[in-house]
Amino acid sequence: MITDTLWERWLAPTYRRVVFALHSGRRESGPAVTAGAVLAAGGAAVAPAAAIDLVMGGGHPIALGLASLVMVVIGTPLCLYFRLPRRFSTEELYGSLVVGAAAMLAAGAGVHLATGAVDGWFDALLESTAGVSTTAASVIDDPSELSRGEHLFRAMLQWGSGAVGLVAVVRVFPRLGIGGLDPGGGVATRAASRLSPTTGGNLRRLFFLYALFTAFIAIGYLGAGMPIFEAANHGLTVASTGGWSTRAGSIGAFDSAAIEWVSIVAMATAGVSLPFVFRLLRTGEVAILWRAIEFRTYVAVVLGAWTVLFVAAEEWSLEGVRAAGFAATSAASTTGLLADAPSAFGGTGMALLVTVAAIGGMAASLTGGVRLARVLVVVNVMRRELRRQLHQNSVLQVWVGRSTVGDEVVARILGEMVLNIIVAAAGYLALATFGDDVFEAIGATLSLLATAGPAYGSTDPFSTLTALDRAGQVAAMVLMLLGRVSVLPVLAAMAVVSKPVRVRVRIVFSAVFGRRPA
Amino acid sequence: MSRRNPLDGRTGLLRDRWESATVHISGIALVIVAIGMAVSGLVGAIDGGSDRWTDVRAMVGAAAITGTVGVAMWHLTRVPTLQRTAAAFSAVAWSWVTVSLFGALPFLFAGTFDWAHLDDAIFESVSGFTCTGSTVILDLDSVPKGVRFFRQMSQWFGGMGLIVLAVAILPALKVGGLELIAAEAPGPTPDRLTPQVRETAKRLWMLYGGITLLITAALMVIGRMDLYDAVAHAFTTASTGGFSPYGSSAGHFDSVAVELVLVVGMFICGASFAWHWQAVRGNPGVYARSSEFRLYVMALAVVIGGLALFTADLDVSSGQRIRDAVFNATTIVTSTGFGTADFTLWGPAAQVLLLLFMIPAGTTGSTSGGLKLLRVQVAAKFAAREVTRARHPRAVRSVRLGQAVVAPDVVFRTLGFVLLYLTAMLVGGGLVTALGTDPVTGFSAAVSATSNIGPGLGDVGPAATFQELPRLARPVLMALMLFGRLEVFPMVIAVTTLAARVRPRAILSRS
Repeated sequence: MITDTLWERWLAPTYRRVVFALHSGRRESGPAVTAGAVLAAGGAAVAPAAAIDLVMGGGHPIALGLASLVMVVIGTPLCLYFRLPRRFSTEELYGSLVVGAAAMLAAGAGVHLATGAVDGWFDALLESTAGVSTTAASVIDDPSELSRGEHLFRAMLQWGSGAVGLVAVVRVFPRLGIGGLDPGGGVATRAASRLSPTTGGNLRRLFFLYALFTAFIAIGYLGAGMPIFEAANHGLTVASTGGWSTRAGSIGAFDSAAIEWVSIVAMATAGVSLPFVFRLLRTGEVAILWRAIEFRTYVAVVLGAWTVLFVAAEEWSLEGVRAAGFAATSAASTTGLLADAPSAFGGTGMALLVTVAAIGGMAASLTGGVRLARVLVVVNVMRRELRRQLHQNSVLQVWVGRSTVGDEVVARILGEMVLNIIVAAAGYLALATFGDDVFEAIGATLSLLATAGPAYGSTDPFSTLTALDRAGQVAAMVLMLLGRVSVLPVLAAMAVVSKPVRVRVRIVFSAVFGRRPA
Repeated sequence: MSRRNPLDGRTGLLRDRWESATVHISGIALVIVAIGMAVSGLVGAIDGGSDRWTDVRAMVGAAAITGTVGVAMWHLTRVPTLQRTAAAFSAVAWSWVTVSLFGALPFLFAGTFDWAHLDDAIFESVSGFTCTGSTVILDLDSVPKGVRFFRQMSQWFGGMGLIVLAVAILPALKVGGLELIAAEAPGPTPDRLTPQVRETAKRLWMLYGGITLLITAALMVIGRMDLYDAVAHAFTTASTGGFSPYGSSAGHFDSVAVELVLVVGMFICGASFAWHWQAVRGNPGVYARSSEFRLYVMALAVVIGGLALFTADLDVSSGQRIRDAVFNATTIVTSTGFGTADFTLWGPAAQVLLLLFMIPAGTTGSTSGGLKLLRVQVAAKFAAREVTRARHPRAVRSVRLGQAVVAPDVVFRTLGFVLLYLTAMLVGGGLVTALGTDPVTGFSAAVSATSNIGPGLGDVGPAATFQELPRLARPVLMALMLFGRLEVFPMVIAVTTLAARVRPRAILSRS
């Protein structure tokens, strides 16, 4: 196969060289290597953006080039001087998570600031947060005014964040047991065998699939009549479920049925677990589609939402079918692309879109939201507790499809769900305090927490961030980051990072009051 | 459970009675409600206006029908010696449904609703017996006084059933982790006070009656209300129901003294009757020891402070703002639902704050609705434990409530309940919205109905009625009121048990 040859001849040696470099520094430090790798990779990704602006003329080739250089200059020495520890401690893993996210945010904000795409550091940080969290919200009123280089950088930011999401899903979260996810595609598809004997092998294959998927989307857009540059851009942002567009009206600005249909297929596929797609492509066994309960549920959610939105819009035509399908797949995959304003579907439609976005796609996909695997576990916990109410001494397991889920995993999933509910409640209050309307606040909170992006409760779906004042935008940033990484790891990472501060506070407290604080 | 026991050794009429806890308990409840109807008729005769005889005829007619059916159900059945859990749940759920159906009769007989609007009459009755306080009566002041008195009394009866249900029956059936009540504050639970639920019930009713009398006296003395208004408001304060005989609710009196008495009354009745019982028995320290009570006070303080802050831009004096904040915070946190101000005119932050605190509402063992703060506490502590376990994956940590360790199965039961409750709210809100309301109205109506609050946001605020909603939305809300009031599980199990019994019979009859 061409892909295997490509892998063996070129990609695998490069990958091995990078991995070797990351393991051959003088001192062990997970966070330093993570920050270095993020910056170096970011710098490398900005270079093509600078090149495009240089070749095409106009734009900000110097600013982009300098930003690229600075990132590479800071990142490479870090990678070379430090090395990844042989065994990551839990605290080091969380530390790396926080430092890596901070490096990405800083890099994204720096480039936005350097090119002058936004005014001031705060807007740059906000825009960067939306990019890193793959949320289709923006403070830029008209993206079509940006240069091609800037567009490419923004698309690469979302795509890169998606790639980091893959690392988290395959390597980090299963190690930490976050939210009961595992590399086989979440608890629901646990029965599925792993893709390769090692997690490194899993990661390589998933990266490859991710790149292939991106290329397919871009080709699809190209075939549907989208200009080549914009097709590549949208390929990058749709594959990562980011949703940033090159035009002010998102996909709706192209006014093309073919482009919308390509988007529907691409977004629906983006919500499917990547390991699951890999198995399907590799084995060609179509029966696994029907065997996986999480996939069946995903299909049911998308088709159900599609149907309800079609009925709610009361537009009995093929355009109506397409508009409903676009909105349903955009919400279910939390991509956030828009063809029509969600208000076209009425109150019922908007409430449904918010709910579908809050649920999200399959567990090992790149979507936001709580993920279907967790929802399935929660539904089955409720069923078990109902049965236990009648038979109180019975020993009942939580079943998802044909697999049982252990109490340990159930506890983690329930913990994640409860934390999500608490964060959402705090978000409603925060955005209501700094906003104008109750439903807008609820819709924006869930949209940001699910990393979808559109303002579902508003007549202007692009106003998610611009309708808020500074304090509201800070709350929005927190929501986007919590939504992208999941609440539990962020809180745990914060606890780890803040440990030195807490220890000092305790020492001061005991010195002043003569006893340890409770 | 309606099967004849051929081995029963008892003689005469007793031997021939059908064994059915559901029908028997429903019968007793109907007889009590019939007495209430008769008393309301008497109140109408004494205190009524020009339409007093319509009032009396309606109440007496309703009392006669309800009483006859109730006596028949009571005397033709008996409670089986051995009770299954499902039967206990069904008895609780169906007795509430039966009473709510018969409670609609006075509204129909008095002409408050015509027979074509039977569903509205049932809505009003369900709202009364579940202590919700939502209304579909457009001009309440024109309703005969006796019917209005019965409306108030229906909430008091609902509260009467509730305290026994909340303190004694549901914890014994381990509904949604309610057995935690005993761990938190040893009170008049069946295993702690007496081995008999009946004895427990008597003591709780004495306490309930005593509190109602105290509120009545305080409203008359401090609030300068007449006897009718004082009793009517005491009924719905003690039961945290929130009905008022006036269209403008508690705002009708525009009196600081009345509001103060109501606030204190609501605060007391939003707290567990188990604590009150302990306090009456000379152990007032129970309040301070209970983490749930501390959380209750804290929640109230947060909502009052939040409302005072978020309404700062309103064009009213500071005193009035604080007065409104205190009253509306208490009425929502205790799930009572009296109204003195239209909070739908306040800013979005104040509305969201009220909406969020509608969900947990009061404490376990009280007459208030909602999830209950104890469950919120368990869920929050569980989440905190999971954050710790994410940092220390091999650590063995338990969820603690005060000094007590909560067993893992109780935690799961509590979380199962919390999620089921929130799902019911979400599904109900979705249905109401789909039937033609805006999302804020639809979802807030569902939250309000499930938590038995009364008013919601949007078109169903304190100044509006639930007539604003599409007609089909009201049965959805009725179901949610019953789901929430009976702590979800009894209602779900009653319905599924009925469905399971009906299905084989249908198959048999077809064959």
